[in-house]
Amino acid sequence: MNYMRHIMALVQKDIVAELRTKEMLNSMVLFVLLTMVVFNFAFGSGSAMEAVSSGLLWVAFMFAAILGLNRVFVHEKDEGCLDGLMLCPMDRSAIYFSKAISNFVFLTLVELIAFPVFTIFFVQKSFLSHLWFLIIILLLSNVGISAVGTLLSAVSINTKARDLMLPILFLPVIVPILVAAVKSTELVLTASAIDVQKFETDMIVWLRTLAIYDIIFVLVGFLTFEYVVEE
Amino acid sequence: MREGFVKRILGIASFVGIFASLYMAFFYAPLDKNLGVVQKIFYIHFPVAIVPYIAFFVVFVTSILYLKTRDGKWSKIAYASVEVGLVIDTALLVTGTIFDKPTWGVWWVWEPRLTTSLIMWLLYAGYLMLHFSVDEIEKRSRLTAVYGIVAFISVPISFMSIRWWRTAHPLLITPKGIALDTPMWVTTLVFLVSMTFLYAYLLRQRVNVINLQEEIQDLKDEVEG
Amino acid sequence: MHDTVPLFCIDNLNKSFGRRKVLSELNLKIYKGDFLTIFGPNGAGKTTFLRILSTLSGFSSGSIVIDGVDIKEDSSELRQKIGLISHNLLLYKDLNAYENLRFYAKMYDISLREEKISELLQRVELDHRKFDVVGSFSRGMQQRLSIARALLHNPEIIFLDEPFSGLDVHASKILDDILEKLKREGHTLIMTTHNLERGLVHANSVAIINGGKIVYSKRCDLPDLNGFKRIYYEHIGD
Repeated sequence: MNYMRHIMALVQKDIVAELRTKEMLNSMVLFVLLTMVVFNFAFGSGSAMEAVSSGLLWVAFMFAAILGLNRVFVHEKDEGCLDGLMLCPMDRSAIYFSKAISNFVFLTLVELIAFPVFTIFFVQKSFLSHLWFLIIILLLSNVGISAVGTLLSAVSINTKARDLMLPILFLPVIVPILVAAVKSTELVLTASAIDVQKFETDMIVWLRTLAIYDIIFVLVGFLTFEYVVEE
Repeated sequence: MREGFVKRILGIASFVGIFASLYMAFFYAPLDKNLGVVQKIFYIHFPVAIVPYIAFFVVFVTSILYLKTRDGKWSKIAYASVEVGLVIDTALLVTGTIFDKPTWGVWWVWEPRLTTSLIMWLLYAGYLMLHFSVDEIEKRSRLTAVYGIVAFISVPISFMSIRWWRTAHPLLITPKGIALDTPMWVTTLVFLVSMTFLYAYLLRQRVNVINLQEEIQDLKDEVEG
Repeated sequence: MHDTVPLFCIDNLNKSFGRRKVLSELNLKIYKGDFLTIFGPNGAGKTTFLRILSTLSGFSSGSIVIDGVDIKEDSSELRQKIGLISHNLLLYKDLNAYENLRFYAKMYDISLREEKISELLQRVELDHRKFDVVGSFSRGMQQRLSIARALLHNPEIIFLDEPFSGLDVHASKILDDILEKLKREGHTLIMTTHNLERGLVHANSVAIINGGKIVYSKRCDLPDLNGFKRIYYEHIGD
């Protein structure tokens, strides 16, 4: 019980601090929007754009995620705060879970703001009937991104290269999430063009991939985080 | 005495094995009916596709052992195995492109196995970057061990997801299985065993070199006081 | 005041960072209720030693027994009894003073949170700035708040890592008063510093670390400042 209370206190602290400055949220949102505009120039508009739009969306989200993940432990390192947390009488995995949760919250928030803009820019067909699938895809992907990302963010903050290290470690590990998220989002965006049964069988494959990944990497993070932060 | 003996056996076994396999590939195994002489590259392509998995599995196991025991020898083996595994994985990517050109008509096919090997290559290149980005040995061993675990676990999920991703594309030519008769299989297996010996031999040598480097550093420290 | 059973038993402690040996064969006993000051030049291993004692750092070999319990056995229980005041603030600059203390109070499962926070804010004379963001404080004020933070859970054992470095006169005075009071209340205090004068003010026990070893230690009947200066330079060989 205490364990949960500690996690909630940590998450609350992160969210209050971020909402006070909104440094990270603002830059993440702007970054996603900028990426979309840049992609539009790179690929042109029209049918070419439509074919790659779900890939575009997830590339933008992944890079925004990296932006956020790089900041996860910056405030903790600043004034030796991580020492303060490590001194608290609790299991250190609470630090991991709290950081993963706050990162999940920030990422989801950014996506909720950016997604409507994305549909206005790039999506012509209506997909509202499948909106629920889309929300599940976003949430499952964010769990995986935050679980692995938080662990690797802790790894990279301990290196000389710091924020240069994270994308190099993070992107190859996150490939399954990227593949599953792109393909399932594509299914939702083109849902009207394919028959219901194919939609369902394909969708289940991708959602299952996301879920398996999530479970495995939350466990791995929980089991190995302490080794990353100890001295 | 025993150390040197094992090393020599591994060295001889891989040397003899590789030459025997090459001989078998060209003079024992028959010519493939469809692909002709190009198919010969399969005999090296297959073992260099399998051995990196062994190498990175060794990284995975030694990483766990390091975190459990904190014995520096495990992290040395893990690092050496990454290096050797990467070299062999590079050989795979090279033979893969050579194999692809005459069979599919392009240098690179985004086919699940080859793509997974590329991602694996990137994962463990990241491992090396991480290794060089931490100076202090104990901390470096800890961080790379954690990454060695994470990276290896992600490989099978990547493979599955890439396979599903590809089967969803009906346009792509499905890689047809190469029908092998018995001499071909025997050749492939002999090559695989020799390649594994070569991996073990290189791994051992690499660990020796790391130990010697450490010894030199110790002596230097002593001289400097 | 002085127990005969030591609170800390440190035996043959070794710590190396990779190839570099920071502490070697270190032996020391620290008694309950003592104010121990550990002196030593920069890079002598003082901070590392303190971090090991406060469970922040592991060690290579040797043993540390605190109050009859091995430090490796149950750090979580032990951490409830430990407070750390360091030249690092351990505070979040985007949160206000009250939020910082409330956060740590939650982490230490403190009952009567509000009362405790108000009392400590008064003690470090910051109650009038309770709801101001810590980033807007002067360095001295931040350090006062950092002291309050360390005392929230009323720790039996308090570690002080160069606590006076960078402190202004006002903050030093407050810290001095607080240390004197903690000493009277029977807390065990362990401080590192390279400032001989400062270090001797409260101490009733001293140790000098040089090259990762304790080269001198004495408990009670400490020499005066000049006498100690002579001993210090003798032992660090400068």
